[in-house]
Amino acid sequence: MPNIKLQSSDNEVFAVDIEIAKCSVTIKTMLEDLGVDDEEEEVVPLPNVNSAILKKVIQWATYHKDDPPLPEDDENKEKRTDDISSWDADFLKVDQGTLFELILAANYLDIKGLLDVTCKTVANMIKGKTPDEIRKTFNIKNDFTAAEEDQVRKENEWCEEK
Amino acid sequence: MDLPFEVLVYLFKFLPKSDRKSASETCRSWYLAANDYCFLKNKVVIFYKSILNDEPTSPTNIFENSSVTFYNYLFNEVEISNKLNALWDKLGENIRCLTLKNCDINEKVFVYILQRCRNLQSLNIESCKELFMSGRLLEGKTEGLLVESLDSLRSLSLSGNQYLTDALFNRFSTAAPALEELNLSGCSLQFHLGLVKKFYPPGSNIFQNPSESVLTFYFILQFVIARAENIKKLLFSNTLIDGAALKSLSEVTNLRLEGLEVHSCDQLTNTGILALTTNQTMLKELDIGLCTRVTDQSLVYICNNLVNLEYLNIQRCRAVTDLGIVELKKLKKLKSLNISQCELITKDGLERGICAEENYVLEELDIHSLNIDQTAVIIISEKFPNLRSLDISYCFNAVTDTSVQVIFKNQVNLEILKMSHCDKVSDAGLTGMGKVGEETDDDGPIMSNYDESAYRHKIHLGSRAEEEIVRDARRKHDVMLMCEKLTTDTYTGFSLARIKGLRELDISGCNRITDVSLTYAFNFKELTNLNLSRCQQITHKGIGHLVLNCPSIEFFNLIDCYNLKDEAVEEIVRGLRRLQQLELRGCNQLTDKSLEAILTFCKKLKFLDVQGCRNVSPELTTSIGSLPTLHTVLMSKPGPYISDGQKNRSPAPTFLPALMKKLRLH
Repeated sequence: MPNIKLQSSDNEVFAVDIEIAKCSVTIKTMLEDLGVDDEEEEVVPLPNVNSAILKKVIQWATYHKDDPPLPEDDENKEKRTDDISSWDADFLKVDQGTLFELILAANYLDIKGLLDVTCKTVANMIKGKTPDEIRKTFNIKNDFTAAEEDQVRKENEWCEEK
Repeated sequence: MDLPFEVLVYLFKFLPKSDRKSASETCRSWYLAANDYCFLKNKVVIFYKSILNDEPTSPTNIFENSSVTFYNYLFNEVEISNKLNALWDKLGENIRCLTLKNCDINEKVFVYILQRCRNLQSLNIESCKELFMSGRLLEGKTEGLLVESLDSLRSLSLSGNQYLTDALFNRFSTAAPALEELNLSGCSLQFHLGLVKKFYPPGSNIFQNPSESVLTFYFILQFVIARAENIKKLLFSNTLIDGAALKSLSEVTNLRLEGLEVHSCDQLTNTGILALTTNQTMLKELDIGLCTRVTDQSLVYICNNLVNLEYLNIQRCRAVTDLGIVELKKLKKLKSLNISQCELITKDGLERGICAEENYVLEELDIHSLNIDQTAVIIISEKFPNLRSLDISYCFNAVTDTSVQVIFKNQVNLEILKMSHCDKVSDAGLTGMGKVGEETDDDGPIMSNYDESAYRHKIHLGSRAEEEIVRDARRKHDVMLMCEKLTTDTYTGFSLARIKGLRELDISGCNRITDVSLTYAFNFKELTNLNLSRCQQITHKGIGHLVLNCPSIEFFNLIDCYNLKDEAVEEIVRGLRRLQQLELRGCNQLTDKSLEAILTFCKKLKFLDVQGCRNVSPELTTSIGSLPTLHTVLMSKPGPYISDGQKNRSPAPTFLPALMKKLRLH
């Protein structure tokens, strides 16, 4: 099985099956652009991902390597969030910092499956909460001035989404 | 940790609208992401019964001062005077869709608005009587600035304007060369050819001299002929359009309609539908609901020729029978179907028609008030795995504990479920805690271990109704026990709670439903609309659990829930922070305590109905009108009420004039 080496921001190197690594569109294009053949064991640097997160990403990608390709998003349909598999739900039982870092990594590495499932998890944590509760859940600092906050609240009162 | 803008936007696409609102109120970066164009283009600023002027209190100021550009504005039942001119000066250029409904507005102000809103794509002027009354609107204005204003207009609605004439319509349409969609529903369109002869003598150029006194279908038809290649959608609901008129419209050369709405058109006949289906085969949407003359023949034409249909409404086409309904299976692209109130349809027609094979395309199905039995509902819920909306209200015999169990098993993708007045459904069906799937002679499942024979020898003086009450109470008790002792081996069925993404639920009039269901089967983070009216057994205990588990409710109907006391309203207003509409009509145990709680906690309430709540004081109800967001309060006229055993006429409240608009006395 041909391997590829991925180097995290803190210089740890992971050997990964090339097919698994290619679930990241970023890595896939990188390999195609560089024209790396399987013989050379080149190291791909991933300066935006640290080793702890990269390890999780690889774990996720390995488990999902045989997944069928995701259907194209329909812009007009609201996306569902209640279809997270139990494996993914367990996998994402992590602290909020890690969850956000996974979202960033999935976005940077362009792994749609992982990005979707992490976003769904965060969305489910937002649902039904008041702005204050959301801030507490995600440690968001309220950087509105009192006037701005009032303005935003009023805008929301007077408008509806179709 | 901060997420970059584009990631936040992507994340917010997974949120329902009301949660996106909450998210936007947390911090600046989330606010900006929640107002990305992909969300903003669907946002509508709505002024309903508001007082709009150039004072700082006018809600229009909010949008004049916003850092965000809003594209769509709706004005409903408001006075639009020249005091709003600053609004159009500032925001007009950005407005894409403008709707004026039931507004007081004069011709001069309207022209001013059109001159400032120069990028309109959609303009809807609905039921604005006065604007058209003199017939001089836009007179001499259709050249120059105005023409530019409506240059890119794609959609125009002038529905509900009885004073619209050919001349007025002509001024709008001349200024809008790119029109694709036209709505003239509820206008007094004249179809009689005699009238045409009177107003347009042979040989006259009708576009030169359009009639100033009538709106003729003949003129509209000439317009459609002239614009055939652009027109994609027409709406003539609530008009007297007949078979001949629809035939001539359908046969227009080069016309390729994608949508036609002729709802509630009594004169429409099969001849018209035949011509439509032969000539307009590109149709994707067709609404002929409440067209009572339409029969099976029409449905056969539709199903055989309009293979591209995605939306079909034949609500209350009463003559339609199974013969027509079986043809529906030919429409393979259908996403939304309404066959409600077609009383002659039977289970057999459904089974051989739309239910003949599994259908993954259909998303919305409305079959309310059909005469079908429970097996029909079972078949439906098994054959359409991708339904998002299902209306089975008033299918009294079809909606039972057994059939709802099949729905909860198969229809986990539902977002809207309506089963109003299906009073056979009990807690056992909603919670799944019952012997389901066994056919019993009794209306509901027999839950109790209680041995009837042991009582048979005792003398019984109670009536049958009394027995039923006792049995009902015992059933409720049993279901509750099962819910409480829930372990994996006692779990026997499927709970309503399986439909996690439910947005809208109507179980009004299902009066066997009790607190047990509210406690154990209601857990919907996304639920925004809930109708529990006439579920007369529910109390504040059930409501307490409900508000904890369904925090997103915005529209809550509790009409005639007699057993609700002030505690229930307190639970509601404390728990439901997004509440916009609360209907408590006929909850006559409520007192001023409820109103005080509403005043304290409801910061977003827009609509309140407390008619028939005899123990609330009119003074307090009036002061509720001072909530800034509130636009309508329905209350009973203060009258002689019996309190403390004495007849006691409460004094008439002194209304503030500004509140009179909000208050409606009944």
